[in-house]
Amino acid sequence: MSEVLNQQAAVTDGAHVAHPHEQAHEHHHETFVSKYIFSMDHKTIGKQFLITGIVWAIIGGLFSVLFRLQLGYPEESFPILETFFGEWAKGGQIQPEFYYGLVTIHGTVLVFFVLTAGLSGTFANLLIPLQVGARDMASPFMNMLSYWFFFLAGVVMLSSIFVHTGPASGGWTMYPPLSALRQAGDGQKLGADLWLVSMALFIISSLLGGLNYIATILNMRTKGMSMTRMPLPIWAMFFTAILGVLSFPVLLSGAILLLFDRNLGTSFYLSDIVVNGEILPNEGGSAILYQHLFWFLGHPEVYIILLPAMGMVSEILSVNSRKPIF
Amino acid sequence: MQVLFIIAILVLAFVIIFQISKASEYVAVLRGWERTRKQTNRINAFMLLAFLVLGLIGVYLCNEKFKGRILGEPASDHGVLVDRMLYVTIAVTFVVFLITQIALFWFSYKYQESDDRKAFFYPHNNTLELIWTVIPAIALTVLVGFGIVYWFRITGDAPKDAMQVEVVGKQFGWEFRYPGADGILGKKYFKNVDPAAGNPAGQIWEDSTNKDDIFVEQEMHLVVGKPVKLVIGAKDVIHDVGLVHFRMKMDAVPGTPTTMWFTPKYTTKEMKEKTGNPDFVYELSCDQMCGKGHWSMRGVVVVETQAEFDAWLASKKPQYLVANPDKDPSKKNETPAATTNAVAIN
Repeated sequence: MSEVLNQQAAVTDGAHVAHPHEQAHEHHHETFVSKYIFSMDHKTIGKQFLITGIVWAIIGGLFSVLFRLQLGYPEESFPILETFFGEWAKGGQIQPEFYYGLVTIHGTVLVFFVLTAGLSGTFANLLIPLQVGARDMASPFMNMLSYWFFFLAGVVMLSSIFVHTGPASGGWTMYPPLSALRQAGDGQKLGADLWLVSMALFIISSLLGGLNYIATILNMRTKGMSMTRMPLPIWAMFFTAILGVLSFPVLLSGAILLLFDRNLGTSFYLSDIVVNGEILPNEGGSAILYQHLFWFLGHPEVYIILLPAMGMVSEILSVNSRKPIF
Repeated sequence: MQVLFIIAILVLAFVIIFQISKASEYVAVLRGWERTRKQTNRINAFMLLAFLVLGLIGVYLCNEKFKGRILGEPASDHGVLVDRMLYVTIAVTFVVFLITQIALFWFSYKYQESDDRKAFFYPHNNTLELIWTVIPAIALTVLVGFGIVYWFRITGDAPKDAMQVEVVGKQFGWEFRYPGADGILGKKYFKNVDPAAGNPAGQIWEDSTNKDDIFVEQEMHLVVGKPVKLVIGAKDVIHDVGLVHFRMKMDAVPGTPTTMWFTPKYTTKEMKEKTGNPDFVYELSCDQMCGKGHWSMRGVVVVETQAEFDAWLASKKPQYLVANPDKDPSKKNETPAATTNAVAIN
C-alpha cells in the first residue's frame, strides 16, 4: 500500500521528490541536446517524428500546388515561378523535366515520409509504451537511431532537389530501365542516386522502429495485460510493424540492386536496350523484377498507412459510442 | 519586391487566423466552457448535415455538366465490354456511396449529444455483421470476375484471321512493323539496331521472313472489322500503348514482349461523323511516365477499309529493300547516273 502511494507521489510531484537515492541513478544531468535532440525518451521521439512529418507534409503539399498549377493552366505564364525556380520554370512555365521531378518527390515524400514515418512513427512511439504500460520502448537507443536515420533520409532527399541536374524524375515507383539509365534524361542522373540512397536510409529507419514496436508490444506489456486485452490501436500498430518488417527489406534489396545497375554495370533489370542510339551490352535482366520487388512492399504499404489510423479511429468511436469492437 | 509582398500577405493571413482563434477562445472562457461546448456540438452536427446536402447537390451538378463528355463511344468490340464493366462498377459503387454517406452524416446529426439521451450499450449483432461482410464480398467477387474474364480474352489467343502489327515505343515516339505478304514478323536482335544503315528495328536480314516486313513510324494503319494482334515492345525504357478510343492499354517493356488483340469497329472517317469533329483521329498515347518527352509521345491510328489499307501498304517499300538498295528489283533498270545521285543525296 505504501509503495503504491509512494509511486503516486513520484508521479504527481515530478521526478525530484520521492526516492532521492534512486533519483541519483536515473537523473544525471540532462542537457538541451540529450533532452530534445538526441533524446531516447519515446514521447520526445514521437514529437520529433510529428514535427518532421509536418514539415515534410508542407513541402510535399507545396510541390503538388506547383504542378497542379501547371496542369490546370497549361498555357498560362506565372512569372513568379521563374523568380523562384530560375530555368526550371523558364518563362513562368514549369518545364517538363522539373514537372516530373516535382511529381516524383511529392509522391515519395507523402507516401513514405509523411504517411509512413510521420503517422506510424509519431503515434506508435507515443502510444505504445503509454497504452501497454511500459516505461519506454524495448530499446530507447534503437528508437533514437530510427528517428535520426529518418532525418538523414530527409536531408538526402532534400539535397537531391538542389543538385544541378534536378531531383529524381522517374515517378515515385522509380521503375527501371528509366531510373537505371543516366542517358534517359536529366532526372536520372545524380538525383536518382540520391533518391535511392535516401530510400535505403529511410528503410533502415523504419526497420529499426518496427523491430522496436514489436519487441515492446510482445515483451513489455504491464502485468495482467494479455494480448487479447490490448487496446485496438496497439493491435493495429503491432500488425503495421510486422508488415513493415516483412516487406521493407524487399524494397531495400530492390533499391540496392538498382544502385548496382546504375553504378556497377550489372544487369539485374536491364536487357535489350537501345537508348539515345547507344546499344547497351546488358542482356538477361528483367524490368519486371523491380516491379515485383517494389510492389512486394507497395501492396502492404497501403495497410501500413491505413492500419494505425483505423486502430485509433475505432478506439475513439467505440469509447464514445459505448460499443465495444469485440 | 513582388515575392516579398506575397510572402508578407501569407504571413499576415496566418496572423489573422491565429488572432481570430485566440479571440474566440477568450469568448468561450467568458461564456463558460460547458455552454460553448454544447453550442459547438450543435453547430458541428448541423454543418455535417449541410455538407451532405450540398455535397449531393454537387455530385448531381457535376454529373449534369460532364455527362457524355468523358469517353465517348468505344471503337472496338472489347471496348464495349470494358465500358460495360465500368458502368456496372459505377452503378454498384454509387448505390453503396449513397447509402453509406447518407447514413454517416444523418446519424451524426440525429444522434448528436443531448441531455435527454444517453448512448445505450449495444455490443454485438451477428446478423448485421454477416450482412455487411457477405454482400460486399459477393459484389467484389463479381466485379473482379468480370475483370479476369476480359483480361484473359484481351491478352489471350487472337482469332486465326487476325492481322499482326508490331508496336515499339522509344524515347519519344512509336515504330510499327507489318509482317508483309507472308504474315510472319521476322526475327530481330537489339544489337542490330542501326537507323543509319536502314535498320531501325534491328531486323536479322538472314531470316527470310524479314524480307517483306514493312517498317513505318508514328502512324499505324488498321482494317475496320478485322481483328488485330499487337506485339508490343520497347527500345529504351518502359512505355505504354494507350488506345483510349478502343479502351485498350498495355505496357511496352524492353526485353519482355507483350500482346493484346482487338477489333476496330469504325473507320476514322465514320468516327469523324459520329463525333461531329472533322479533326478526329484515333490517338495512341504513351501511358507510362517515360522521361522528359512523355507528355508529347503521341502516335496516330488510322482505321480504314480493306481496299484503302491494301493501297497504303502497297505504297510502302519493305525495309529490307530500303536497307539494301542494290537488291531492289525496281531499281535494276534505272540509269547509273540516277543511282549515284540517290546515293549522293543519302
